[in-house]
Amino acid sequence: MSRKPYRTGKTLLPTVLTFVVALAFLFPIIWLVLSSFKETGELFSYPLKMFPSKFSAGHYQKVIRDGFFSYIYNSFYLAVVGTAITLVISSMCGYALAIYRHEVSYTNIIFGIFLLGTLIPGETLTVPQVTVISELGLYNNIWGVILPVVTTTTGIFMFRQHYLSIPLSFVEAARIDGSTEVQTFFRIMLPLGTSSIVTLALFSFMWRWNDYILPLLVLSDQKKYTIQIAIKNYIGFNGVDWSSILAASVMSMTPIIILFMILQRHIVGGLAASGVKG
Amino acid sequence: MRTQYGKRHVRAFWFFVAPCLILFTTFFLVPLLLSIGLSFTNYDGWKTMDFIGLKNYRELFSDIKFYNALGRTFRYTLFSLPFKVIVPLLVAVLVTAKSVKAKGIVRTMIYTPSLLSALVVGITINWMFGAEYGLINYLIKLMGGVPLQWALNYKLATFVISFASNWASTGFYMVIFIGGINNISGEIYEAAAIDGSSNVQTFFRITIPMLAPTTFLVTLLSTVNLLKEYALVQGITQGGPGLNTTFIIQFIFDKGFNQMQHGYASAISLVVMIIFASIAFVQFKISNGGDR
Amino acid sequence: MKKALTVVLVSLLLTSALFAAGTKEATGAGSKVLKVMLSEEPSSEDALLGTLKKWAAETGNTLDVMVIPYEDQLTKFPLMARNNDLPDLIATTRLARLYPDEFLDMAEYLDMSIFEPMAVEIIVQDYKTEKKSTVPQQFTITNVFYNKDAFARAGITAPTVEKPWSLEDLERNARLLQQKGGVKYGMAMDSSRARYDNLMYVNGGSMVEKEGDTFAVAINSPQNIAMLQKFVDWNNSFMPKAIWAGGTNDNPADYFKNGDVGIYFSGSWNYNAFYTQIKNFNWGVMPSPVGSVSGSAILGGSGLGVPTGAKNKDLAISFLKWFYTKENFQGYLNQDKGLSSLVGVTYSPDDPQVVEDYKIMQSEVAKVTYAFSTDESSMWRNFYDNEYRDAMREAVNGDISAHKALTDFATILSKKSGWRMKY
Repeated sequence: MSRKPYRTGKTLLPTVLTFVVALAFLFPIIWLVLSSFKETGELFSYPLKMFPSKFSAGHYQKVIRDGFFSYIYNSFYLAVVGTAITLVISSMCGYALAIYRHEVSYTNIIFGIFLLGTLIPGETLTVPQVTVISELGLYNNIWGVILPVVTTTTGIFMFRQHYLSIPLSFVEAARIDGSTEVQTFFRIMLPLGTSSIVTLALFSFMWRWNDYILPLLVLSDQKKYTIQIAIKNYIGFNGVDWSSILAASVMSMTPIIILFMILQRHIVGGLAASGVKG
Repeated sequence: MRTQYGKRHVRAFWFFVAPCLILFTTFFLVPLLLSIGLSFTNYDGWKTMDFIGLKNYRELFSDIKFYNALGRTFRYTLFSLPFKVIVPLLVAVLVTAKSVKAKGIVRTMIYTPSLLSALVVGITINWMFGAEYGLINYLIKLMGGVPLQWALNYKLATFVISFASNWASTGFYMVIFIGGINNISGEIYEAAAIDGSSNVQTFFRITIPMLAPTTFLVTLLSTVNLLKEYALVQGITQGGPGLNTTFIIQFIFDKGFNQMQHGYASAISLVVMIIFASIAFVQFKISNGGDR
Repeated sequence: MKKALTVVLVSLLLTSALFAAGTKEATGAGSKVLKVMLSEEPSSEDALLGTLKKWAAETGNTLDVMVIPYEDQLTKFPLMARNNDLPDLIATTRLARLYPDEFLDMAEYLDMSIFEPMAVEIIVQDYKTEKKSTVPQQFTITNVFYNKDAFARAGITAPTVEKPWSLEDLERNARLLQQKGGVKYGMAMDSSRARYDNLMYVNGGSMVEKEGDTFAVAINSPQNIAMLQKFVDWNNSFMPKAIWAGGTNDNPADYFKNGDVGIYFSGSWNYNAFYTQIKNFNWGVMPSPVGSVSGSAILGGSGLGVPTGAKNKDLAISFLKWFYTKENFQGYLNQDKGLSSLVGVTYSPDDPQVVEDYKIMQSEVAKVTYAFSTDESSMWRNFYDNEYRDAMREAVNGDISAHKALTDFATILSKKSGWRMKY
C-alpha cells in the first residue's frame, strides 16, 4: 500500500515535534501512574510531588483483594461480545444508509433517528430504559446489559461516512457479476471498510469496558459487576478512596492500551489498497 | 433514480438496517416515548405519578436559571469547538506523516487520556490547575509571578474545563481522522507531488477537502459531546464558581434526577434534546451530511 | 487470525447462556446467606463489615455483601423491589426515609429504648408516621478541629467546654491566625450545607418555623441574612473562598491535614483519619462557638433497615438482635471509633488525649437545637435542596447579595411547599 502524503523530508524534526506533542499528552498520566504508588497520606500532601517518596504497591494489592480480576473478566466478556455484535450490525446499517441513499427516499430521516441516540445523554433515559429491560424479563440477564447498548450511533455514523466516500460506480461494478446485495456487502464492500471496522472495534471495546450504569442496575449478582462499578464503589459518602481509584484505573486502562497498540497499525484505508482511481 | 434492481435493493436496505433499527427502537425510542409521557407527570422515580399536564413545561420556561444554563452551555461549546476539531486534525496529520518515526507509540501516547474516566481526568487536571497546590501555580510562583485564580475566576475555570475536555478527547477524534486520512488514495498524493505541490498546499488543497465526510463526523460528534459535558465539570469545578460553569446537563440532574423530580427532569431533557437536534440538523444541512 | 477470533467469539457466546441463567449460591446444610447492601466499598478496617463477618463466623452463616453507590441506590432499589431481588439488610438512612413502607418497623422486633434518644430521633425518626424504619448504626456529629501549633504561634488559647467562644471571638481569632498563626487560612469549613447551618442556628435563625400544623418559611429572616453576609465576608478574608463559592473539587480536610488551616469546621467522622495521618503538627478538638442565642450542632449518621420484601428477613433480624448487645456493639464501636448510638456503651480508647477529645465531641450532642429538629421534621429538602446550595454559592462568589440569595430561595420554597413566608 503506497501512502506518501508528503514529500519525504528530514525525519528528525517532525519526529521530535511529534514526540513533544505526545509527551505533553502523556505527562499528566505519568503523574497518575506514579501517584498510584504513593502512600495514602502522600497523595494530597502539598506541595504535590511527582515521585512517591516510597514506592508502595499496597493499593494494587488492595484492589486485587477486592476482587478486581473477576471484574476485569466480566468487563472483558461484555466488551468482546458487545463489540462483535456492534461491528456486524453497525457496518450493515451504515453501509445501507450510504449506498442506498438515492434509491430509498428516507435514508436521511432514518439516519437522523439514529442521531437522536447521541443527542440525549444516556443517563436521562436510564429509568425508562431499565423499566423496558425489566418488563422484557431481562433483569439479571447479561443480554439486558448488552442488547441496549450495541446500537452505537457513532458506529453507524462512521460506516456511513466511510461508504459515502466510495463512488457509486464502484458499487455498480461490484454488482454486475450477478451477486446478491448481501453477497456484495460481505465479500467486497465490508473488507473495504477495514479501517472503520478496526476503529469501531477499538471504540466499542472501550465503551463496553467503561459501561457502568446498566451492569449496575440490571445485574443482581455482585460477582458479575464490571470494572467501572468497582471503581465508583470507592467513592464514599464522607470521603473518596483516591488511592484505590488510581490503582484500579491504571489496571483498567492497561488492557485497552495494549489492544490499541496491537490494532492501531491496522487502521489503514481500503480504497487505497484496492487501487481505485478516484 | 430507481434502477432495474429497485425492489431488490429496497429489500436489501431493510435487511441491513433492521437489527439496528429494532434494537434502537426497543431500547431507546420506547424509553424516549415513556420519558415524554413522564414529562407530563410528577413522577418521583417510583411511587408517585400523577398527570399534571403542562405544569413542568410552564415551570421550566419561566425559570431564568434554565436559560442561563443553556446560554453558558452554548458559549462553552462555541469556544471549545474549534479546538476540538482542529487539534485532533493537526495531530492526526502529524502522526500519519511519512517523515515521522515510531508512529505507533506516539499514537498510543496521545490516545491514552481518552481512556480515563471523567473522575480520574478531574483529579489529574486538579493536580495541574489546582489554585491552591496545583503544578502550574507552583511554577508561576517559582518564576516570581502571581498565581492564577483557576477556581474563582469563571473565565479561567471555563478554560480549564475546555482544556481538560480537549486533552481527554483528542486521542479519540485523532483516531477517526487517521482512518479518514488513510482512506485517501496514495495516488492522489503522488500526482500532487509530481505537479510540484508543497506540503502546505497539499494539505489545504487535497487533504482537507477529501476529509470532508470525516470532518463533518468529528464536528457533529464533538458539538454534541460538548453540549452534553457534565461528568468532567463535576470532577473539576462542580459547576462553580457560583453557577458559572453549571451547564445544561448538570441543571437537569440538579433540578430533576438528584431531587426525585423525574417528571420535571424528563420535561427538561425533552426540550434540551429538541434544541440539540436542531443544532445537529443545521450542521447537517450546512455540510450536506458530508456527502460530496 | 480470523479463525481464532471466530472460535473465541463462539465460545464466549455459548458461555453467555450460562451467564444468563444466573448463579446459584452453594451453601452448606443449615447455613443461610445474608445479603447486605452497603453504599461504598468498605475498607479493610470497616467496622460494620468486620462485625458482620464475626457474626457469620459465630453463627455459621454466610455473607453476600453488595455495594451500590449512594447516588445510584435511588434507581436500584425500586428495580430490586419490582424484581423480587431485595437484599436482607441495607445500611442506609435515605432509602428508609423516602420509602418507609418498604421497610420493616424495627420497633416490632427490637426494644427501641436501648438506643440513644437523639440517635433515634435524628436518624430513625419518620416524620410522617411513627414507624421506625431503621435502627441507628453509625452516629456522627459536627465538630471543630484546630491547629495547636498555629494557635501557639498566634498566642491564642483554645476555648473549653465551660468557656466556649462567641462568634465575635471566632472571627477575631481567625483573623489573628491568618496574620500571625503561620497558616494559609485562619478558618475553613466543609462545603456541606449542614456545616453552615450551625452558624444559622446559633443566632436563633432557622429554615422554617412551626405554625400550628404547618410551617412558615423563615430562611430569609434578618438574622439569617446578617449571618450570611458575615460568612461571605469571612470567605473573602480568611477562608478558602473557592470551597464555598464553588469552582473546585478540593476537600478542606486535605488543607487541614497539610497544616494550612487554623480552625476547621467538620465532623466526628474525620477524627480517626486525622489521628492516623497527621504527623507533622499538633492538632486537637475544640468546642464549637456559641452564638447570640445558643450553641448548635448537627447530628447525622446512618441506620440499618430490613426491606419487607427481603427473602431472609428473620435472618436479618437475628443479626440485628445479636449486633445490639452490649458486648458485640462494643466490639463494633472499638473499630468504628465513632459516637455510640447504644445507651451504656461508649468507645473507650487507650490514648488519654483521645479520651479528652471524645469528651468534647460528645458534649456537642447537647447543643443540637430545637430549631434543627423542627427544620428536619418539615422535610423541606423534599421541595428544594440543590437550590439552597446554589444560592449559597452565588452569594459567597459575590454574584448576588446575601439578601437576594435567601429571599429568592424563600420565595421558591414557599411557592412549592405552600407555606407562607414569615419575612
